[in-house]
Amino acid sequence: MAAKSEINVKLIIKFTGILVMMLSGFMLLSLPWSVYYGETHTISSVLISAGITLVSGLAGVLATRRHDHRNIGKKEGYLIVTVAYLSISFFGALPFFISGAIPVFSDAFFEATSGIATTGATILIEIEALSKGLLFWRSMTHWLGGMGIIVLTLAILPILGVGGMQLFVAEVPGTTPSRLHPRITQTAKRLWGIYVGLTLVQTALLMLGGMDFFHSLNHAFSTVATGGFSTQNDSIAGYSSYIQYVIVLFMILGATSFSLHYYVLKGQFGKILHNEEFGFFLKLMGIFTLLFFLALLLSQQAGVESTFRKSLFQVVSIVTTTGFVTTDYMEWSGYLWFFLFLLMFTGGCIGSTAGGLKMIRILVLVKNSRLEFRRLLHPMAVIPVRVNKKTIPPDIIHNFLAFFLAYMLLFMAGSAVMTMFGLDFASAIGATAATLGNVGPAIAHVGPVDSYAGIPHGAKWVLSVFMILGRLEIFTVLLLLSPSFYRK
Amino acid sequence: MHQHRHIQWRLIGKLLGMLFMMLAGVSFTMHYFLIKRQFKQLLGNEELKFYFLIILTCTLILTISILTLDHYGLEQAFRESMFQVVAITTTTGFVTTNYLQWPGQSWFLLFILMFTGGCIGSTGGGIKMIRIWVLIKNTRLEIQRLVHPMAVIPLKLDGKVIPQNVTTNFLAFVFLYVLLVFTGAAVMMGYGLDFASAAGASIATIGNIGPAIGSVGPVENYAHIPTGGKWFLSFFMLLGRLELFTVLLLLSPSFWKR
Repeated sequence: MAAKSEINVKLIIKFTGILVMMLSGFMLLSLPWSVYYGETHTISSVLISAGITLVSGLAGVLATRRHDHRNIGKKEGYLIVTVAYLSISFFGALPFFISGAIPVFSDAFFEATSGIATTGATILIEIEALSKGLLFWRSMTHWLGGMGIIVLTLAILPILGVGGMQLFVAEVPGTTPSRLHPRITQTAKRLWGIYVGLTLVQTALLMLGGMDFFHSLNHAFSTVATGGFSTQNDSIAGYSSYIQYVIVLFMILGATSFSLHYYVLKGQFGKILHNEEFGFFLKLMGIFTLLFFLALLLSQQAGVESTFRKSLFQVVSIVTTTGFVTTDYMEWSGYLWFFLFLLMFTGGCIGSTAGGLKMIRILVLVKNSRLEFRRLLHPMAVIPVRVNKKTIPPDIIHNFLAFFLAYMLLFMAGSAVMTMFGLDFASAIGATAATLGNVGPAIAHVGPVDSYAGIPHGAKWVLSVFMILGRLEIFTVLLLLSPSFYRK
Repeated sequence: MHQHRHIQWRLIGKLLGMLFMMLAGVSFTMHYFLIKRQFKQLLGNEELKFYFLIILTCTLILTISILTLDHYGLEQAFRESMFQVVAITTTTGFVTTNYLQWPGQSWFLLFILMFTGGCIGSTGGGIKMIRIWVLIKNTRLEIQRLVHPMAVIPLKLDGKVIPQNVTTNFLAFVFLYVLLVFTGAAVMMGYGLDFASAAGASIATIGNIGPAIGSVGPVENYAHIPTGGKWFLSFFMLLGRLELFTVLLLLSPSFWKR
């Protein structure tokens, strides 16, 4: 009998094995497309990839089959999630690599990580050259990463019992699972139910706008997951204004806390109106859209509606950390794209599919800064921060601030590493901010109309890690680097 | 001969300059302990150790990164690195070489150092060593709190427990500092500066350093910035010198409420 606090490696192998087997199943879903479009080469490479993935997962599960998986501790929870995301990125890269569509493995890994972390940064220059089956797999990685493949596993495999809670907390930070239902499996089902619902509705709305089923489904996957992979080289720029507005709407919905969607289904509209985070989220996007709209209207000779649409689309796309593009914003005046760069840090609401710092943290920290002045004047007074009329405990504020600091430290360290790989100042800073925030397109040489193809391979691996850091909200991953984690 | 002696003096001048910058970046309380011969206080001071650790580590990294430049020998590379690291970390801003001609990663390190500043209670600006050190320690604890959410893990500095409201205040300071740097950079871009210059000007003025990067680099000056931008940067220098809260307090409505 092992000591209680010792890390249970077998448990981690077992659960990662289950997830990898799930992944191989999803890989097969791109086969019908390849069959329909007659892509024999893709069919064989997807089959080989799915085979390797299935066998690897099965080996992990069989090797640890006698192990009881019901008592996942906190440490195991965090380890499983990080190991799982790394493994999924690895196996997810296989279809790209084996088919030869992305001949270099570090590129394929970057693309798969960018998918699963819902970043949307691509190393592809000719996206339309990819076969339909591979394009579908590329969008599918987004969709699995968005609400979380682990949460999905919790929803459809009821084998996990109590331990599931630890995994849930590690994969979807910020959602208190008990908010939707006291039982973890039920919560996971509800979240994925809403997620699937949103995806289907968006697909239908896109098809109404004249997009075919394949492209509608792909874009719906990318939008609801706030990912940003498109099936087109010029992202969303070539589509009609109706389609652009539909995508704007669903980017916002994807970046909205999923508990709010649940309240809508329950008819509890009051909770939405009084949700300060959601209000702050809408206000922020509204203010910046207006600013961009006015600035562009004065500086460019374009129609009022198209200028408004461009401003709205770009602001929403960056704030929700989706990263779709309808215009090359690097051609705007410097301060305008600098604002977009700043917005790469904000992120959507907590408990959504968006990345970044998240609205609630920024809201609480701005409020706290204001109160810090009052504390300066009245050192002995206890002045609480209130959100939604509830007092935020000092521990939470402290944690949010520490998160902000860790985010900034990582951002600086990442930028420094990027300059070591020879990137220029703006590209280094942009690439780090856009991958850590799971946005995708950044500024300068990794701007909206460029790709990450020209970056050195070493840098691609670092950025892949940054995407996973961003997706799992930093502390989850950093925890594994701290020596105290492995002490008994 | 005369030329040779001249160079020698310049060298001594640089070394002396470096020494006094380094001393000025140390908390003046430490100087007092030194005069009082309370050496134990000096050796046990974590901020002081961290300060020298940062200077040494960054000097070494920088030395290695500029060693490959053909006109630098080992000694000169070390001297130039150390001078520049000390000048930036202590927020003095003296320059002995155009560091922007160094490789990108070398001056990016100096750019990051513009945030740090010297020890608290010194003449340096910036975020200050003690805040950074406490916050690094706090980040480690915050990560441990993930696994042990109920445990009360105190943060200790120099053997004393730092209360949570102090770390919260430090964190709020850094949050505000970063927010202001971003705002300053946005304003400078509005005045037409390019990305690197705008970020540099903002950070070098709020950190009370002086020379930055881009068009406000070590061999440039701030003359070309529009007048409005100069007023703004002057305000930023005051903000940094008075450690943000003091100045911003005057702008907060609650200060004027009776």
